[in-house]
Amino acid sequence: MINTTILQDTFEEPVLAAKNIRKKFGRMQVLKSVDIQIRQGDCIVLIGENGVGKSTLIRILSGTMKPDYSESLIVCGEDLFTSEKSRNKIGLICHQTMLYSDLSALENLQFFSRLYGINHEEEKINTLLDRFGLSLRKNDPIRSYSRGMQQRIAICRALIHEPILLLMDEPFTGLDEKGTKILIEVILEMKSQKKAVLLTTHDPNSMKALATKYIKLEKGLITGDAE
Amino acid sequence: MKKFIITLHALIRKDFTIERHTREIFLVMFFFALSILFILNFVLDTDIKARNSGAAGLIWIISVISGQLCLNQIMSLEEENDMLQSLLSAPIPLTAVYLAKTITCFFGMYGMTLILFPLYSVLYNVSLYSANLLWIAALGCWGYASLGVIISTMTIQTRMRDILLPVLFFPVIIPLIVAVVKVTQTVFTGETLNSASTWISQLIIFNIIFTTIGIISFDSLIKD
Repeated sequence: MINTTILQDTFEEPVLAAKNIRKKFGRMQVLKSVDIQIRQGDCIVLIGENGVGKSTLIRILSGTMKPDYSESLIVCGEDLFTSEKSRNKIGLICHQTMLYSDLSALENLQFFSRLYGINHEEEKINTLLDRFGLSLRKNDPIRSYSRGMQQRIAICRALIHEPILLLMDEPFTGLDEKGTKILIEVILEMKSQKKAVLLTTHDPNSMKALATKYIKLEKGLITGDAE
Repeated sequence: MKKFIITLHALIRKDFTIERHTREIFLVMFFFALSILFILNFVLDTDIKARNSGAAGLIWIISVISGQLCLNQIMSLEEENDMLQSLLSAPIPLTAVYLAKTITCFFGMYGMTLILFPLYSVLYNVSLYSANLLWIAALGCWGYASLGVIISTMTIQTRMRDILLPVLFFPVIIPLIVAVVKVTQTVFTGETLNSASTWISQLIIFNIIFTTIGIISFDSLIKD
């Protein structure tokens, strides 16, 4: 039984495989040669000091920033920078909410569901808003929301297209206890559905129950690897 | 193609919904244009002939200056809250973003220009009515929007965006503005459009060139 599991894990195609990623800002080499593999059911916690390049790495892996060089960056078997489809498989949560503050939560989610070509959008939007406890204020503009509520909508936005890989940069920032609980549930659900999560945090201890692996970014390289 | 059109529609609809909620672009642009028109009314010669001959140039100068407000705002919508990143992470062709921005800006400019013509006519007591103005204004506004969105995208992430945009944009847009003013002047003076055929050809060529450059270069402009 144990052997079978090992075999499955070994030969399973990774959700994300990146090799030799390099990125420079001016004269500063932020990422020297980063290799990373994320497999189904993984919840990888990326740790590192401020300014070490965690956000840059998340952005590159989400396809929103081009690396200076990369041998390969494959998401679900497709090249991230040439295949539009591969971006459909990624959900992204960054420091910023990535929401239009003059639109309501409903309008924001409707807009993104159209971009992702989602069918039955109303149903999905309402389910997500209900889950995150925002149904009653769905018609209010985002700018009238508190930081925590905005973060909840940002999570809804990232989940609207049911991504296979969820990339999150400090996702717990601004979230209250209830919001944190819901996000933890989402991560556990993704793990159980054999999807994958990569997140950065300054508080790795709080991730003990969720993390399948910790990796550390240091001096442009992934150095730490504690299973 | 169907997905491209759905994406384009979603992007344009989003810009217009934001404008409906905030009224920060078109209304501001229109009032700015109106203010210049009123100021010029007191400055310019009262001679009707002189006002008539200068009409084309004045109307297009007002459109160009106030259109810049639209260009500034239309791209800064995507800068707030890192919206550009959200568009980059979505599975959409970035050409759709360029065309959506150009179409939104075009509608703003075109609507304002179509209001400016009769307003100038009323305020300055000159007759400027011609059906040809509809398509001439459309060509002028599309060229302006298609190039303006490219330059605006180049400057969006710079600190001196508000200064850089006119400095980079106005010198490049001069040939298009000269062409559209010449064609408009031909219409105002009642001459046949055949006499302005060279300017019309230039206007069309500029539109094609600017739009093609935008479609080809937008992807790398926005990512880099």
